[in-house]
Amino acid sequence: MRKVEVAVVGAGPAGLTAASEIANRGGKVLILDENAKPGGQLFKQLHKFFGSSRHLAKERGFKIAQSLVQQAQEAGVEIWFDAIVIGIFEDRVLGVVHKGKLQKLQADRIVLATGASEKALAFPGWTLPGVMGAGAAQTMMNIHGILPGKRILMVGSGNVGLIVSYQLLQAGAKVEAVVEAAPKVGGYQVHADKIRRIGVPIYLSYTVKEAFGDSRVEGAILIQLDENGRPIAGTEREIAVDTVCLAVGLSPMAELTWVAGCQFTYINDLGGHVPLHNEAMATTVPGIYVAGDVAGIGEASSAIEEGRLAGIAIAADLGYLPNSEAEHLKEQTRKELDALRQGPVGGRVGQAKRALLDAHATYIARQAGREVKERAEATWTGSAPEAPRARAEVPSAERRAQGPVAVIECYEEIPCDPCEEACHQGAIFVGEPITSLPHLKAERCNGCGLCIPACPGLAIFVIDESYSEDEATIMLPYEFLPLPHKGMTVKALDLQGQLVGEARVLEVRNPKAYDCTPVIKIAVSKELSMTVRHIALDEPKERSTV
Amino acid sequence: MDKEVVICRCEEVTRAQIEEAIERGLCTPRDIKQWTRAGMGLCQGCTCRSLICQIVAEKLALEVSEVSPLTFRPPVRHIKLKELAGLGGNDK
Amino acid sequence: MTKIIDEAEVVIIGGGIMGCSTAYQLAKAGMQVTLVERDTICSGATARTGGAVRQQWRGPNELVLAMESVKLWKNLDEELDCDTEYTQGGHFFVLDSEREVEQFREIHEFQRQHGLECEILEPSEVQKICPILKPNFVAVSHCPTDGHANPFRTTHGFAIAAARLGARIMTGTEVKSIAHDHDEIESVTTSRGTIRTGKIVNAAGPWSMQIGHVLGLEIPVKPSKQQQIITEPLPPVVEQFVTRLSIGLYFRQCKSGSLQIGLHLDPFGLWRETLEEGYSLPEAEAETLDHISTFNPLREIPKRFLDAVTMPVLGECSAIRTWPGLYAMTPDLEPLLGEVPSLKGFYLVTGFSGRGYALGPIVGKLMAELIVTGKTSIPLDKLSVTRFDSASPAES
Repeated sequence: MRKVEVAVVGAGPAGLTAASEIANRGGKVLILDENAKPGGQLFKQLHKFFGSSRHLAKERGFKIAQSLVQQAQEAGVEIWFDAIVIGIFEDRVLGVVHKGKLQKLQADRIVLATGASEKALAFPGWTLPGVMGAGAAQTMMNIHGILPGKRILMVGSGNVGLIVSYQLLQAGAKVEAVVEAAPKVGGYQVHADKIRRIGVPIYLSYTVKEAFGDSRVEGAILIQLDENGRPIAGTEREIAVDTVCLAVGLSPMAELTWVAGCQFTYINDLGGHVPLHNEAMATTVPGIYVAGDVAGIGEASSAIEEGRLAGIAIAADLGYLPNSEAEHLKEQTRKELDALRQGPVGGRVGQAKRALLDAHATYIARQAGREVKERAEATWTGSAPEAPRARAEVPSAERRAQGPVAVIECYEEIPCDPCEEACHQGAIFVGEPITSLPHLKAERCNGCGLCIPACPGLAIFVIDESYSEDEATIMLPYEFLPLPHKGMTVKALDLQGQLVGEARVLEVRNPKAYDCTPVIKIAVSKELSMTVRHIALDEPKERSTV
Repeated sequence: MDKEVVICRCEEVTRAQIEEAIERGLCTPRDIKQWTRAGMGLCQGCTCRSLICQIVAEKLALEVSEVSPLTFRPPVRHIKLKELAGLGGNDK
Repeated sequence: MTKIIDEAEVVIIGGGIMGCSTAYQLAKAGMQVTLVERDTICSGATARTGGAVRQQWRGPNELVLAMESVKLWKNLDEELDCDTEYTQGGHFFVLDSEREVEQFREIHEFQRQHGLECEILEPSEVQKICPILKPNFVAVSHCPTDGHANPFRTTHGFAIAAARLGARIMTGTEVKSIAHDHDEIESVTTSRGTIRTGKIVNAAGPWSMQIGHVLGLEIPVKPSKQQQIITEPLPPVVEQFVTRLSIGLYFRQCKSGSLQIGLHLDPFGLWRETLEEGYSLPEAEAETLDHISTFNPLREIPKRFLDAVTMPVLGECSAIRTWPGLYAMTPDLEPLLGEVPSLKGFYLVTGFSGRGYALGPIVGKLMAELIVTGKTSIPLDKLSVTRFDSASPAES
């Protein structure tokens, strides 16, 4: 049996960060990951991440993974890949199958950062080849280079559904439709806009009734839902697809946490059954901590901060950090987490996590035989009220006539600020809190367009209505191949992906600094300057209408 | 939802079979698993456990949070007997 | 005093095979019976049993019970209208020394007197009917009328049939206290309320001692933690239930195709007394009443199994789950059946020391006979708790 000081299960953002925090202070850490490569979900995320410029924002997911791994390796963390932790036994004993053999490890402290798994949706035909989880499609595509299908139905409009749809389009598939059972889009508006302007319809209050086909998916039937979420007979519509991707939610991958004997509670907004933990990420089993999606579905940035919290707590516990310093660092980290958990998506998670901490405190109190006053919101199962969609801060027509100016079409409170940092003119202001909508000081903007590739939401455009008598130019982000070339005539599409005219390609910028977000400058009829938001090199295909 | 839809893919247990078990008085996911084998297959319920809970909640008019889900046991991934025995081994 | 929620002629504590079988037989006899189970039906020891329905290698007081039970097993599916997956594929005891073979020849002689036919097979004969066994043993003791069944289906089958006949089955109901006036039972108080009754059956398996303590009685039943592994389904590879005492191993193939493999762990050293010198049973790591698995069996079980069977194909087969189970052990490894003399109306149906499942059908029938008529068709006096009265719980 081998003894380790700290065993971390999962080399995703939470696990890597926890390990680095401990190892940097002198602790000996071993990370165990069942995959062949580190990075968890990050290693297949090709898009640029939201977040604070201080924390790897606007970096593509897989690059964030690479830098976290490097950090951990530099800190002296040992990592075992293809190492499957099959169980956690008494006294923090772990059973690990590695290099074809079962091994016994005994750890002083354990961090379980095992992430999440995809939820399932059962319907007639869901067992046909061609029906898969959106995450599975993403792995197939981004890791193995295999296109899952050519004509996709995406079920679910949360961030996973929207992002994977976008990536499927980039890979050359056609996303025929996204269906969403709720009456509003589940993910961020900017992610939805990215696919809408390509022409992908998002049908709200719709779900998939059935997938059919002989030996694989050949089509699906969609059905509308009423205000109670029940199917409305007679609204069935058939759609020809060869793949149905299910993006219906994630839940904590908590098998090990369960097997270790940790107590759980059920919180819908965190993905279902989640392990109880306190403010230092410690579970109800002494010496075992959790961090990241396993402690409640969230984002990579909060996974990193939770990993940090657990790492600091353990480092202090093992004597590598004086308690006073640890308390200060933990406070700082908690403030970061609070800042990330704002806005229409983050806010719900924030409230849900507060409910989780309450549930933990109640459990501890009951174990100690103490009286527990019923708290008003002991379990959080509701949703935050919908944030009113803020109007775009559109630069005035007068300003637009003067010269190029940025239009920032970001209306949701996302914890994100790379646009502020990207602008060398100081024309963009986000400030505190980080979820504030970006504000443009139009008089300072010189239309350089550096903000365009910096925006992870691809929501910034530079409009120049002073270009000529009849025409305006638009600079827009374009992450597709083949890239158009200077002088080409292309189709001009609006935010719904509808053809509204033609455009001439004036410039294609794709320097290394843009990190694979080319910026295209097009000339369009002046009246279309605030309408055109995407281009198509071919005739946009007939969109199926429902 | 159509009754013939397969809920447990590993053991091919349909919704109809699960509902029939509930009608017999087998009211928790564990009872249903013991009677129908739903959740006993290779993946140990990783796909179907939440679906089974949903069906139970629906049939018994409960909140999903009130339904005790199937338990987890080691090994949390299926492992070859020879690897558990320490007889595998490819020390690279 | 909590609210009176029920009145029953008999309250059975424990929803395992014994409790459910007894509930069925009592309901069949027209008695008003309520079964209380603190978790779900078949969630305790019965859920973890290897499922053997074995007659051979039992003490003299049990052999008759086992043989009568097998008669009931053969018709159980029809009686309960349920597929118990009972199959009579035979039971092998794999023997590793001449001394063991001698022991079993003596056992066979005794069994033959009671009408149970068994045979000793040479390795070459075994190879013909059970090719997966590695021929690295001395001989096999085979009982062709032994077999195995599905504990879940059987127990739920009894419970459903009992309910159909009017028994009240209350799950999620824990016994808190038992009220008795002088030597007569008055009621059972549970987590849901009080049930008025005059008779209680303690079928709480490994927790029987705790139930005894509720009454201030010392019932000599100790839990012993064991472990099993189940594999992915395979095509049929073995028909018999196989036990190999020298290494503490046993296994069978379920109807689903999975191999269920277990190890006899021996925390109290009780088995060692009855076994050959030089036998190596792995130490149990914890002697707790909980259902948390321990590490060592996870390695020992596959190791011993693969040593005993032909490789390499079976080594490629995956284990998908492991669980601990508890035997309810008595000091002499024989069950406790019958009324407790110091408290009228309190019956024990426990202490089966890892061999109870097979006896489920007959025990339920006999307990019903005892409770309804005061007599049993097979004498149970040798299995009464009174055999321990004068002594403190001793090593046998």
